[in-house]
Amino acid sequence: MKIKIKAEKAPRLCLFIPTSLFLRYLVPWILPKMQENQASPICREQLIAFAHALKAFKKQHKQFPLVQVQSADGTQVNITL
Amino acid sequence: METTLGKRIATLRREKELKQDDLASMLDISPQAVSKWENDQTCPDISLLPKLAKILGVTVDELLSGKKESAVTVMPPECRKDIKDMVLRIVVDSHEGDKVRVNLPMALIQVAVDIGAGIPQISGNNALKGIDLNQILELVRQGATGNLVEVESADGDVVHIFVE
Repeated sequence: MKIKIKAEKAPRLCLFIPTSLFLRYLVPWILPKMQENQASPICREQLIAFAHALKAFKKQHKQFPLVQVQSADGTQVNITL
Repeated sequence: METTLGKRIATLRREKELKQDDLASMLDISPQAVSKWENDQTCPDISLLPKLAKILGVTVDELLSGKKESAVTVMPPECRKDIKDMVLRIVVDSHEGDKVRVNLPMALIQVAVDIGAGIPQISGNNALKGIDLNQILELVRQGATGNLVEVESADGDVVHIFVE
């Protein structure tokens, strides 16, 4: 995963996040926050299924643009898989 | 959509995961020509517009005007793409001038819905609340593509959800 931040009057920032790090730490942190019913926590098997689906997609679609943000002040953020 | 033709071509090309070289070879032109288009130094020849629009997945009108035609199409089963190859695009234009575009692979959405995840919320944006990912997934399974959701919140934020 690559995060690029371009802001006026600021140095450009480019962060590379290895997929393994993303899957091991960020996905288990992000997914529960998206759950509508927080009472049933995500189990390990579900996380593994998500990780497999993500890896398969990433393999087929390199540099897939996940998020593109352009704020009113001209700051741009691009996140690619 | 972007304000100039060149920027629209660049944005649409990237969404299709094409390099300038790829687009150039599909149109039988030089990569330098594509680069000049994207930098608004020149414009595509009129004879290339239909083919260019088709490659980029838009109509010629959308390409030239920058206005997305809001149309939902229901594809017959034999013409439908595999849901795992489809992408859900959430486009948010906030009243403050921010533009957010999120592209979510349908393959991942299917798995996320099984987990019980909802649509990702953009902080402070009420227009996304109440949009049911399950219903969108069901519509896509039935063959719906295009601009499935168009919402304008009381604040003036506009949200479009496309499936393609």
